[in-house]
Amino acid sequence: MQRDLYNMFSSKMYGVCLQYCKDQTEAEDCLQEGFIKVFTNIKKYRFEGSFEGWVRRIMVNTTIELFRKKKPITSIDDVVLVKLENETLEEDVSEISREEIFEIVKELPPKYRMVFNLYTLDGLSHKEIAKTMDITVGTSKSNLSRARKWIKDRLTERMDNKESAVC
Amino acid sequence: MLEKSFDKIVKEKLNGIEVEPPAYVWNAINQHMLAEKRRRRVLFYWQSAAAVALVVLSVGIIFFMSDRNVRKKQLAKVENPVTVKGEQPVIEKQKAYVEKNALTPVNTASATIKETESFDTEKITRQSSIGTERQAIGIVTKKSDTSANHPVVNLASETTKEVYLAKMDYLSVSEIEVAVPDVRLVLPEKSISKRPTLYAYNTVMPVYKPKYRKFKFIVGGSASPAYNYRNVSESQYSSVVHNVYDSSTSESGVVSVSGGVNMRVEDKSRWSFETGVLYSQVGQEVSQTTNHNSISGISGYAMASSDNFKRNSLISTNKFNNTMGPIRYNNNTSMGIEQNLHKSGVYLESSVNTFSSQSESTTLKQLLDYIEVPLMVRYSVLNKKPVITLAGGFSTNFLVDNNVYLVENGEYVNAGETEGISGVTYSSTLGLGMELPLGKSIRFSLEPRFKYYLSPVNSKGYNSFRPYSFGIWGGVSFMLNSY
Repeated sequence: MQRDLYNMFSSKMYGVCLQYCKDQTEAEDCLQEGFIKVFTNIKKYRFEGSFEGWVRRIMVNTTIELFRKKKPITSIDDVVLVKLENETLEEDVSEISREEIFEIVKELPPKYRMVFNLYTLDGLSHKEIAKTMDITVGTSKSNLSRARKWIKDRLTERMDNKESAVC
Repeated sequence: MLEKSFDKIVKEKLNGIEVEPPAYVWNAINQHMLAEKRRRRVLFYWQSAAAVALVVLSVGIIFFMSDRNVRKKQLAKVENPVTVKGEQPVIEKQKAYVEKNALTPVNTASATIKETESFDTEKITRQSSIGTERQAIGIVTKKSDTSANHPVVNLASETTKEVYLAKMDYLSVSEIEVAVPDVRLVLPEKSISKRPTLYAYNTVMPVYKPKYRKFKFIVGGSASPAYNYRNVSESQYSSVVHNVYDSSTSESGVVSVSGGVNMRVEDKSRWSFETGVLYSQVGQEVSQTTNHNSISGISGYAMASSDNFKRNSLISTNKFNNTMGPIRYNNNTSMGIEQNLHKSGVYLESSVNTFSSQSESTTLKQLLDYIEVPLMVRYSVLNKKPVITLAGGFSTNFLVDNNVYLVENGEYVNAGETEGISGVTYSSTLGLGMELPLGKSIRFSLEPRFKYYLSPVNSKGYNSFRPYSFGIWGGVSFMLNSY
């Protein structure tokens, strides 16, 4: 039973953990701890929403707990909002493969990555993120904009590399 | 807008990304869950045990509390006690018997009690008409007349009575007599420190025919590991140690196993008598540490530990004296040892000139085997579960075997016997027993016992070797029919 559940969800959840954690080792730890929580608390599943969604939430919460333990220090003057200006960005993102996006997101600096994931993938508001991560709303916004900028820069680099390779 | 669009595209791209995790992650999860399962199982057992203990404790408390409440109620029902006046017919005395069970009240009748000539009461009261409720009928004081050793209460009624003795102070069951035929005494669980009050209620219940169980016979078996050593006189010890031993020789105790069957006779009191047939073993160990002498210059022979025996004072002489007595070796012992040594390539030449410093030890075990017939008296200190008893007695020990063993590499070689050992010796035993009844007829017992030989095991006068032993006896016994 446990093995079946693990086989069913482990690949997806490992993908989630890799997105949220800073490296592979941390992701494996989160996956392990997350599944132990799933197996231990499976009776608490209320059949509200999908089971996969419930498992994913446990995994994300596990990564947040770990992030809190190893919380990166963010200075106050770090709060700077950066706007995306490149109008061709949407096209760039569309053209790039999901594996490449995945690799770029995995490389995001931890303080940006967690905010970006919670905002973009989990749909949390800045207020919720601030509360979850024990940071200010301003820091959350700043980290999100910096994450976007960071991803955009990496995308642009990749696009440029591709174009030069074609030429 | 640009940000929203960007986020949406990224989310779509990342949604459903799957990466196969390494196999060891599952192994770690699985091991953790198995360990957790084990931990929960152990926790469950502990919780179950705790729950059972709690239930037992609760039931026990409720039982005792309810019992006390009943007694308090009974005390509260005593109203207008009337002092007995005038002569009342005294019915022939008959000893009451005891039952602890609850009684069944039936019809009403009258009951009076009267102070007998041989019974000195300060105050005896009665209920002229005793109903179906259990009521107080008198207060009994300790007898002051020295001609009888217990107080007597006479109930002047020919009907069957049940007398409830609510308070037992300084009186035990056997100290009360009630002078009404077929009267039951119901005793409280515990003695308390005030004068006893008699309670009674009438019954016309079928006459209870008491079974007089004078004796109970209990047979069983028990066994014990025991540590044995000895007590020797100062002079004997000094003479052996100074004249025979060197600094490398020492004596020590041995561990043996004893066991056998026993039979006990119990009467109605707390005393019982016990006998049986037991096998027991006493003795001591003599060890000698000697230098292991290697020979230089002789090739082809390796020295083994047994090489020392030839030069070892324990076996180098025909007789080796120690505190138990001289050891007489078998005729073939030396030969046998030598043959063994030769077989193992040991050099036996006694004129060895060069030595190494390696040391070896030689051990002799002197053991005396006895068939013991004990006669013990046992007293129940606590007559509950478990029953705690104190036992003491004497045994006659018949010597059945006398051996000296050479212990080498854990193997025992029969080397001879100790001289001058008596055929019969006497010992004393003290024990503190704990018995746990299982049903009506089986009892498990555990008893630490100390045994000391009153007479020395030696027949020759100069030795005074008195063994003693300490063992934990475990056994099971069965109750036979009572008579």
